[in-house]
Amino acid sequence: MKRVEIIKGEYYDSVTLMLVAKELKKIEGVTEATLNMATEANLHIMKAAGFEVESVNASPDDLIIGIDCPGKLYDRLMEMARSYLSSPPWKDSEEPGEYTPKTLEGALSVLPGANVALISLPGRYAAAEAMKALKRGLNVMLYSDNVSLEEEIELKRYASRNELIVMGPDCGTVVINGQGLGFSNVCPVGPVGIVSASGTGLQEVMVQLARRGIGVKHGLGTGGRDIKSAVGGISSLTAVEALTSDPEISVMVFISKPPSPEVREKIVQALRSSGKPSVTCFMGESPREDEPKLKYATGLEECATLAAALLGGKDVIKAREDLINEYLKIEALGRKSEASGRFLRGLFTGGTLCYEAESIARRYLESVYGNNPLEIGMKLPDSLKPIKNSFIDYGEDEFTQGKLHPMIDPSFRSGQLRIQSEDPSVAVVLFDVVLGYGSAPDPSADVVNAIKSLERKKGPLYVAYVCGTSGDPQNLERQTGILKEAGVHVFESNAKAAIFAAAATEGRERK
Amino acid sequence: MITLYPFERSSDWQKIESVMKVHSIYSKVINFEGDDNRRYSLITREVDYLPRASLIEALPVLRTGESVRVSQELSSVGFDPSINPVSEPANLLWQPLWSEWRRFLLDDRFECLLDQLENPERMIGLGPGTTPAGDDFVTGLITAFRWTGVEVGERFFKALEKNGTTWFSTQMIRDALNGYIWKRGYKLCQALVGSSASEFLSAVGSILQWGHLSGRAWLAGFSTGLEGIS
Repeated sequence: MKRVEIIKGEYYDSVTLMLVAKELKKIEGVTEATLNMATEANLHIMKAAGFEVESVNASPDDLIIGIDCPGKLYDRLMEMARSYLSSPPWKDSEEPGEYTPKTLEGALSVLPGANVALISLPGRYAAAEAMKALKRGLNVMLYSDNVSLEEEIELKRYASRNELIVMGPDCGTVVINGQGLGFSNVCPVGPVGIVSASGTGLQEVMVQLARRGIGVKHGLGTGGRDIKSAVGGISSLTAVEALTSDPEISVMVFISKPPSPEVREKIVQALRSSGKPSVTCFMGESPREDEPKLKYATGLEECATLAAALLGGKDVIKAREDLINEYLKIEALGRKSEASGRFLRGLFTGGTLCYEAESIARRYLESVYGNNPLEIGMKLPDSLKPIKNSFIDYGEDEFTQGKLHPMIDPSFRSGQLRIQSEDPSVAVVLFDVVLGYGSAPDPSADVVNAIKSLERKKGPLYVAYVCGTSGDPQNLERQTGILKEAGVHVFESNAKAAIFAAAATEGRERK
Repeated sequence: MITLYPFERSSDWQKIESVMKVHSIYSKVINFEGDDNRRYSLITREVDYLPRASLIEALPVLRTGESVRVSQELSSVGFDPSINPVSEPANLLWQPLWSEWRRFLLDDRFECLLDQLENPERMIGLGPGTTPAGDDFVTGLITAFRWTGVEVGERFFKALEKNGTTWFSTQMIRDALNGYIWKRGYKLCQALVGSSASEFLSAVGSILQWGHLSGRAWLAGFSTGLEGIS
């Protein structure tokens, strides 16, 4: 039996809510437990999961608890939920801890030499704190989203005038001197410098470089809007300048979705002027002719391949051709594979990985829908009810208001994967698993549990890419092994996984 | 009657044998009421030292109201709870940090205390917690005054006589008025005149572990005292 309860005016952070839900789900008889702030998006998700929320009188400042359990357990479970919230069992109150400063000034007392502030606050407060940090001479990594465009422009203009950089908003990954901030993988440090308007794009290129034995010294995020006209590439250009003047950087890389034309021109010009060999990856752009010191990639793995070739003084044309040949082989394998059903569902936790996979899929499939589609007119009316070929980015705002990002808590994506897998029209399910600091401790296990609980007689073909290294806390080999053991086809790059999945689905739509 | 032999004591507990009645029992401390109506405590951890406390290896199983004999025959002095007025001022490097502690009063649970900020002696007995948060605030405030050499007004003595509060809190406030401090507070004072960030953060963290709200309220009071607002 599914029931909900509202706790008025009580805020809890997403991690606490996730952990309490996890504790409740361990109890025998509990089929589902979910705790969320009662935002519209969360109510929609709970409604889709069968909880009666229509008559609920709740605002986004209220907590809504949903439990699916036998009726006789309900009261006890609700009491346990309240008890866990007030006294989390996983916290040892006797454990000594250090005081954590609550203000910027307090933090600077402890770390007077700090030159970066990482800001992770609700959007409505983030810009003000970012400006305080800039005024104290700190660069800013702005992890927060829901910062307005006007605020972003103001912050970046101030930063630019004062020889500082604002990395963000909505910047989840930065690497400085090999040290990751936010979501990041354990990768070697080396002579490559990356500027990226894309979090998982940066992670994928770093991981691909690591697999080629190449290290990255700095990976500077700019936030996705930086490359649009309104912002004008302020942070992108500051970042390119910083990498240009660093003598330890030999090759530069720039990653983003296609920028506004005038911003693109500024970025390309800055890379040309740097005098350093560079690779751009404006994902999804049509291939362009390379310049002597500036190479144009259209995909993340290609970008890493070209950067590696430049660094090693190798033939870039051959490197590209070799990669294309690998892709052709994988495409052929995909076409030979057997699957029951007609459509491809791409279910992603990393936004850029979803974007790249979708843009690859569009080369093979007639129509591709999504919650953030590449093609206008292909937006799904309901992201919880994908149709035909669909790509869903579970890191989009509609899924993360008052909820953890799916890279931190993949349970929602896993639940959706199971639902989609039961659909007999789904032939192939393509998904990503992103490892590293900040990500879930065992993301593959989460997905495999969903796969194993499938009731459909002949399930879909599962295809995956694991973005990570063996140095990551979750360990690449272990995570890959878990998936392979469950029958998932795992590939070495996001592009390869997408090519295989799309080729395996090609032509089935018309059946 | 059981006789207990602590191995260490605070310097304000005399090296004699005395009979006391068990007042309250907790997982890490037992409080007794002496013949002088004052609180004496048995503790098992050095960090929990307070005025008139003794360290014992393990807490005995006792009942509230039971009389016990405590012999200091075998104990050495492990802690001096006297507040020594500071000879050098608090390091201003930490000022942004101690300023933060007043914000603890913005917690909804401390709302009743905010109304009494102008006359903090009225906080005695007020607020949530086993020791009312107002008592913790006042103790922190008075400790800061004692430590910085600021005169503590008669109003606190009078308010303590007049206002009802818990037996434990009364002892706690009286100790502060008489110039005594708990070890956690002592460590903080040491850290405040130093320049070690880790020592400072650790000392404050230790106070925050104190009870559910007590540590926060105490720090809020201590910070108010440091800022010189009486």
